[in-house]
Order: sequence, then C-alpha cells, then structure tokens
Amino acid sequence: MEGIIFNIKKFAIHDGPGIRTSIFFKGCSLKCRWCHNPESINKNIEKYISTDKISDKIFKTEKNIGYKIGVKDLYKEILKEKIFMEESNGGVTLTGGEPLLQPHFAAQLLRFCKKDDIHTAIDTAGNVPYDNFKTILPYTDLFLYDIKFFNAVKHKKYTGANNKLILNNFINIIKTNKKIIVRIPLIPNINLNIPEMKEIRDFLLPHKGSNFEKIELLPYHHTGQSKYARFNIENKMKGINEPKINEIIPIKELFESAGFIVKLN
Amino acid sequence: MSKTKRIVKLRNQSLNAIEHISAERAVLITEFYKNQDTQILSIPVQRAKALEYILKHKEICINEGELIVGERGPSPKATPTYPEINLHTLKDLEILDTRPKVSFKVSDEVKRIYSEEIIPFWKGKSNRERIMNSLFPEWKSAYKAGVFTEFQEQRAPGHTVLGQKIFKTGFLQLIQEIDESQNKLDFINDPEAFDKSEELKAMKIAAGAIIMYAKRHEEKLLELAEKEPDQKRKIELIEMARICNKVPANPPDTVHEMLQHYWFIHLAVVTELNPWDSFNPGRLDQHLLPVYLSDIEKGITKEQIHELLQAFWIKFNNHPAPPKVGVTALESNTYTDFCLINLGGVRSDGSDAVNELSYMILDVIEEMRLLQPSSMIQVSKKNPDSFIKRTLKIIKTGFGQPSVFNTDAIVQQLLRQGKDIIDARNGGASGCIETGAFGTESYILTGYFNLAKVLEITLNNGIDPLTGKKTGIETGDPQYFKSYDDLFEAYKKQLNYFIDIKLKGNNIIGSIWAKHLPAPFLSLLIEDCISNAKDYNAGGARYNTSYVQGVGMGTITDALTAIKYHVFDKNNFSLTELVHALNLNFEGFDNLLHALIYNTPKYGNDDDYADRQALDVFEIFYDAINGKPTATGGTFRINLLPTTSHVYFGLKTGATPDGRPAFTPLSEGISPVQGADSNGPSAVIKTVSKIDQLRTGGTLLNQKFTPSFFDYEEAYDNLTALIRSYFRLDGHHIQFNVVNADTLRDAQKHPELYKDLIVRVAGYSDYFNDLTEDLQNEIIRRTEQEKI
Repeated sequence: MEGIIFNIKKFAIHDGPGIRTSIFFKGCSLKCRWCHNPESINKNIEKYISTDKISDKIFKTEKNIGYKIGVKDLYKEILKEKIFMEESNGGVTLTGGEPLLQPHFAAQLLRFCKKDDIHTAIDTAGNVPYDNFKTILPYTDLFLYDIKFFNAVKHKKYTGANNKLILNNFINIIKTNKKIIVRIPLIPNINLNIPEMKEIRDFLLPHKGSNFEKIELLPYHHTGQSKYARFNIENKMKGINEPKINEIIPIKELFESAGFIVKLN
Repeated sequence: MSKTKRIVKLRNQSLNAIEHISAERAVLITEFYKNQDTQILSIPVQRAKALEYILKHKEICINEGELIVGERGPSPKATPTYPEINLHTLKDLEILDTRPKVSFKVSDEVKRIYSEEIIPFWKGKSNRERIMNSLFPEWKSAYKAGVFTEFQEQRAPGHTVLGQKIFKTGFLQLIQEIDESQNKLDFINDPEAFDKSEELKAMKIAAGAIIMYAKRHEEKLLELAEKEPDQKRKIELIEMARICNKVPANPPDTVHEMLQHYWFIHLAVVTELNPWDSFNPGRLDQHLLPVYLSDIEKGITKEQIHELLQAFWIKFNNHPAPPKVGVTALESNTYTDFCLINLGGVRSDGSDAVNELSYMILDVIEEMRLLQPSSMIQVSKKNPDSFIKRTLKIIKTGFGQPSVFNTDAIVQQLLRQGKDIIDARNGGASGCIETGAFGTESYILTGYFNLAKVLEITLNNGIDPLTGKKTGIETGDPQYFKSYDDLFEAYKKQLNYFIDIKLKGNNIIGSIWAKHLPAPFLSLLIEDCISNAKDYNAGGARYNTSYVQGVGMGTITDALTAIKYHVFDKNNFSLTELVHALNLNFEGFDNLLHALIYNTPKYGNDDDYADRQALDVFEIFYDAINGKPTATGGTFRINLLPTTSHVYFGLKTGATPDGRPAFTPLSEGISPVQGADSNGPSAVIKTVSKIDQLRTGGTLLNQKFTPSFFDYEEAYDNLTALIRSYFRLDGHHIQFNVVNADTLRDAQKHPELYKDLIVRVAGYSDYFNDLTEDLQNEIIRRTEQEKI
C-alpha cells in the first residue's frame, strides 16, 4: 500500500512526548489562512522551482512537493529511529496535512508501529468522516486535536470549512477514552482574543477527564511564512506580527483556571 | 557557591596575565649541559640531574592569596621553552611575539638571551634537528604535502594521565620501590642490567628532586609567613608550609594536601619535558573522595573544600601550552594544553562512581568558566540521568564544557586492546577524546593523517596537483578505472603506501626519544616503569600504545560517494571530467558543483548508500595500522579526531569531489561535513555509530545547538535520551557547542565585547577570539540545530 507524504522529520520534539519521527501527510480538507505548511494542502504531488545557492550563484531546478511511498519503506525509515524513541519514551506522529485523509495507509503504518511497541500519535484537524477515525483508532495512543474556533462563522471564514464535523468527532473520540491533547493556534487578529477562547473553553470543559487534561497553545510564528515565497503561494498573513507574551499569558491563565494543564509550544 | 574575594582576585590575575616566553628554563638547562661534569653521565641520569638542576634554581613563585602553590615559570602565563627539544630561532620568537592568534610576548631581554646563549649552544643539537636529520625523503615529501603531521617532532611523547596509585603514594615510598627494583637486577644473566640500573638511578634522582622542590616552597612560605602582617593569612601560610613539607614526599591525607601533591607532580612533569597534553589528574572526583570524606568528618567545611578546588582550577589556567611552531602550531593552534578532568564513570569494581564531589566539581567548572583545565563527564549505563542533566545545564551556558563520554565504550575499547578489566575501569579519556588506562598506559598520539589528501593524490596517479610533484605511488590513471571498486582499490594502495611511511617515521622518532630523551620523572608515575626498570619513553609502562589519528572522515566519505554515485552508478559525468573540474577548483563547472553539493547522498543522514563509504575507509585505515608493533614494544592503533588539523589539512588539499572548494577545512572527527547533515542530530548519531568505534581509541562527534534549543520543558530529558541512545550504540564521545550564529558573527566584528566567549572547537574549547578567521567561519557554518 502506498501513500503520499511530503516530509519525514526525525528528532521531532514538539509533536507529542519524547523524541519522535513525524510523518507529514499530503492533503488537507481545511485551508487555514495562517497554515505554516501551505505546501501540504493540495493532496496531489505538485511541482515547484527550487532555488539552491552556492555563494552568490543561484541554481533553479524543478522539484516535486510530496512523493509516493510504500508503507513498508516508510516503516523502515521509522524503525531507524527506534532507539531514540525507546530512550526518550517518544514515538511516531502522523501529521501533515491531514493524515486522516489517507486512513488506510495511516492505519497500516500505525499497525506496524504498535506491533513493535512504538507509541503512536495523530495530529489531526478533525475535519474528516468519523469512519476515518475508526480505521486508525485501534492503533493510536494519542490524538493531538486541533481546535481553532468554536464560532462556526469564523471557522468557515478563516479555514474554508464548517467546524461541526470537527466538534462532533472530538466528542466521539473523547468517548473512546483515548488520550487527547487539544492544540489551539493563537493567531493575532483572527482568534487571539478572550471571547473566542472563552467559547472554546466552554466547549472543552465538560469533556475534561483523565484522558483529556492537557492543552497546548501554539502562538503564531513567522517561520512558516518563508514557505509561501518558496512555493509561490499567496501569503494572506503579510503584516501580521507574532503575538507578544503578554497577549498569550491571559489565555494560558484562562485555561489553567479551568483546571487544564497548559503548555506553550 | 559564589567566589570568595581571594578566588575572584586570583581568577582575574589568571585571565589578565599575558602569555609570554620565559627564558628561565632555557637558561638553566643550558647552564647544566655546559657543565663539563655532566658529559660523562649516562643519558637517563643526565636528564634526571638536569631536572634536579632546574627545580633547584628556578624562581619560586607564590602569588598573593594563593592556596595551592607552584608555577612552571616565574609568574602566571610565563611559558618556558625546551631548547634541547625544539630550539626556537629568533625568527620563531618574532613570529610568536607578533602573530595575531595564540601569540606569546617575547621581551628584548629574552631575545638577547636566546641570541647570545641559547641558540649558539643548542644549534645543531636539538632533538628536532636530530629527528629531521634521521627521516627519509619519502617521509619529508609526504609531510610537506600535508598527508600527515608529526606530534613528536617538537614535543615529547607524553599524553598520559595519573592513576590511583600516586594519589595514595609519597615519593619516599617510590624511592623504596626503586631500591627494591635495583636490588633485583641480575648483572650476570640480564644484558640490559646496566641500562636498567642507570634508569633506576635516574628515577631516584628525579624523585629526590621533587621533594627538594616542595621543600623550597616550604622555606619560601615560612619566609612569607614571617613577614605577613595579617594574622589569618599568616596561619594559612604556615599551614601551606606544613603541607609542602609533607607532600609529595609522603602520601596526602586531606583535600588540600592531595591537590598540592598533584600540583607539584604536574609541574615536574611539564618541566622535565614538554609532553603533549601537559599532564592530567584524571579521575579527580574518585581520587579526592576518601580525603574529602575524612575532611568533612574532621570538621573542614564544604565551603573550604570548594574554594580549594576553585584555586586548583586557576592553577591550570596559568599554564598555556608550550609555544609550537610551524606545522605543529597549525595542527594544534591553541593555548589549551589539554588537561581533561574526568568525572563520573565507574569504580574499579564496576559500580556507579558518581558521588557528591562529582557534583561539587561540576559547580566549580560552572563558576570558574576557565579555558583550562578542560572537563568531561564519563557516562556509564550505571550513572544516574541527574548527572547528565546537571552537566547539560553547564553546557547550555555555552562555553563548550564539559564534553560527554561513554564509559562503557571506553572500557570495551581497552579490553579489546588486551587490558585488564580493573585497569580499563580506572581509565577514561584525555586530551581531546583519547582513550587510556590511567596510571598504567603510555598512549601516544603520533600525528594526524589526511584521508582526503590521499584521494587527491590517487586521482592524479601519485602526483600532488598542488605542487606538481610526485608524492605518492602510481596507482593507475583514473580514466581507465572501469568501476568504483577499481578506484577504491587504487585509493587503498595509495593509503597503505603513506601509512607505511608514517609508521616507519614513527618508529624512527620513537627510537630517538627512547634513546636521547628519556623521562625518568614521568616514569615514576606510570606503572610498571619502576618494576620494569624501563623509561616511559622506552616502553616501560604496563601498556604501550601509539595512535595515528584519521582526519576528514566526512569529507572522504562524501567524496567517494560522489564518485560512486555520479560517475559509476548514474553516469552523470566521467571521472576524467571530475578530476579536471577539481584541478580547476570547479571554475566553470557550476552545474557539476551544484550536483555534487545538492544532488548527492551525504554522510550524516542515516543513509546506508552514503554511509557505506565511511565504513570501507574505516576498514582499510584500521587494517593498515591496527596491531602493528612500535619501536618501543607497543602497538599501533587508530583513533579519529582532528584538534585543529582539519583546518591545516584543508589548506593543503585542493578541491574534493564532495564539492568542497580547495583550501577550505575538512570535516572534523567523525562529524559530517559542515552543512551536509540535514536530518537532525538523531540521524547524525545513527550514521556515525555505524563506524565500529570500539575498535578505535576514541572518536570525536561535534553537535552544535543554539541556546534556544534548551528553552523548552523537556529539552534536558530529550538531550539525555539522545546521549543515552548514542552510547547504547557504542558511540564514544559527543560534545555540544551551544551558541547562535549571530552571536558569533557579532563576535567576529566586535572581538572586544566577547573576550569571554569560549566555544567548543574539536575535542576542546577555545576563546573564540583566539581562533583564526577560517576556524571562526567554520564554527559559524556548522549545521545549526535551530529549527528542531
């Protein structure tokens, strides 16, 4: 079985516990305005012109974004990092893009991991049919579940999709008793404000329990922006600054006072 | 603990003292050899008496407020010379005085003494001249071409570390052992009995000399006490005098006594000869523990002990490495004299050796923040993670220390070499990363070997294209190589040719040192020189190993991979075309250069295709050297480290097939080529641990992190796991350079604002300001792990 991915990142240390290997799946059902992996959105392999530099000389070559890979070959790459996973209580994280748009490929890969006792995590935006979740559920230890807005209108406006499915899937996952960490991007001028965050908190609070007690806040940062130029994609975030720490602290406190364990990433 | 006023003052004195040449030792040794009465002595006795003469007449320096006394020269950073080994010319002195990096001030008076007394007497007699006179044309031609360097041409074969025994033994006891050994000599049946007897005589003179030297300090301290108005200091001086009366003649019983005991030994070793890597107390937290515990029991406070350790640290920093000249200055361009203090590891019985003192000494390292001594932790699977994490917190502060070593690998390396398991557990690493059995082994580095240069010569069928001279042998015109194997076979032949030259040279040089410059004092310290009645330099130690250090592993690997991939597997261009491009330094070959750099599998990414070539090179390098006998009854072995020779070798090597432009640095240690690793530190670790490091005497892996890498919750856990993983894979050593590139660029522009900026170079740390611009640039370029 083959899937389409666009990157394998080793020594990934911000996508779940320990030292991890993150697999970036290509294709996403959202189009978040701030996306820091804009090359991940299209589910097909795309072409782009890559620029390499040697001193002052510039070399342009056509390259692909994304490639097909067989699940066994991909797993071979993952196994190379097993020793680090063992020593750090790390594992594998499927991210993207939206890994759950290739559920069978993902499930196959995760099944291999579990057979070798590797911890598995899925970083998902949740905007896929619940059946896709069901496919991978038996082989998944942890969900990193992105929630951007509670407000449906804003969600549609800034991500291109309704959030009903996302919120429903979240509730369904919670019921399975799988571990979940909710990740909230904090985007200035878009969702970085107290009323929006209060709505998210009020949605999450009833579901807090032993399998869901952690929230990660991901303040917007510029590093993704260089990709818009590199892949020649229109950047709608021009002029938006990275949030200051004093804008983030009140939000951290908001979730902490609701009893969540909050981490700034 | 903060620094006491006294420590602040002594530390500033050390930091502010300017490195300068002292003619004191040169004058004394010249006086000694001028004396006709010394001419009839056997060489070992002559050497011992020379040491005695110097220790008897050199000025005693006791700095204000000091707790540990003794200086190699008349004042801190006063650096002696060794004209009998390496006679500096007036031009050398001029260069030392004025060179922009690692300079030593030379006064007019020193120049006068050199021109009137030292040079006229020693010209034509120094050991360096003796060595150069004995070496053969092929050696000289390869040396000149930058195929290898030679450690012993101007510094003595030191490179050893004190073991347990001497920390518990006084020199009076050693004299008894010498007498016993002398009594056992059999002049009827042992043809070497007379030589042995002379060697033992020499050792006894040397043992007496250090006791005398300590007593001179006692006298001077009492004299100072007499004049001292401050009651508190007066008592201190009297106590120090008592200690100098007791040690090193008798075994030390307190921390203060033990540190002073070691320090006298250190001074005598570096006064007798100018051994590589000065000398080293080794496993300090182990040696000190018994006296530390008994001190505490007696009511001495931890603060007092802490202060003594700080004072001890400053003593090392007062002693820059003796000034090197020529190629040797380039291969090791630093003030550092490579005293690498070992902490942690395992005890003789194999149990966890981390103790209270290990942590106290880590505090001292962090507080003193000095270039010297260097420091490292040994990490065994038995040591706690908290020990690693404490160390990482110091590493994070960005002065390049301590480095991190794998005890379990070190023990296995030593066992493989045939050492006893107790000797192996008592060992560690010294210098940069060199494995040794402390107190029982002479393990000598003999020189760096340029793995990339050999390929350059191979690709030109024995000619060095930089000079047009025939330096190697004819291994075939590359245009006729039909396969990668043909090329590799030619490389192997060429490598064996040069290794044989190097080993032959080593054996000549080893014999010269053994015969002409024995080290009777050093021989007292390393077992079993006394019972063997044989000098350290002549193979008297229990174990004798000589190393050749391979340099440019990343560069040679990527170069061979580029040829295999583009020329033979993909047919992108011919070998002839590639060689042509190399000889033109890629001028006019932009696309080819681009393919070499950007579209070639590279070492350091856990890619078997690329890493394979490293293993092949390792095997032929290992086979060419490992197990061959040395002139003094030891064994040749390999290790993989560069100090700063990768920069020197870079200057001697034209463009290489990995896309490296001519004259730029080679890769260092077993680290990937700068910028070639693009899959993060775990992939680097996987790559480098494919090399069978247990068959080496040490390897060096440099990983650079910016401080921001440590700024998240689990950073210390993850780095600890990274280290543990590498060590499970039998990795030998890893060091972390924590600094950001902008800081370094700014430091280049404003050196005056960064006087204290210490960076890890390669197996040691140095002041960024003291590095050449090339090396500074290289450190900036090294892959930053910023984004991980």
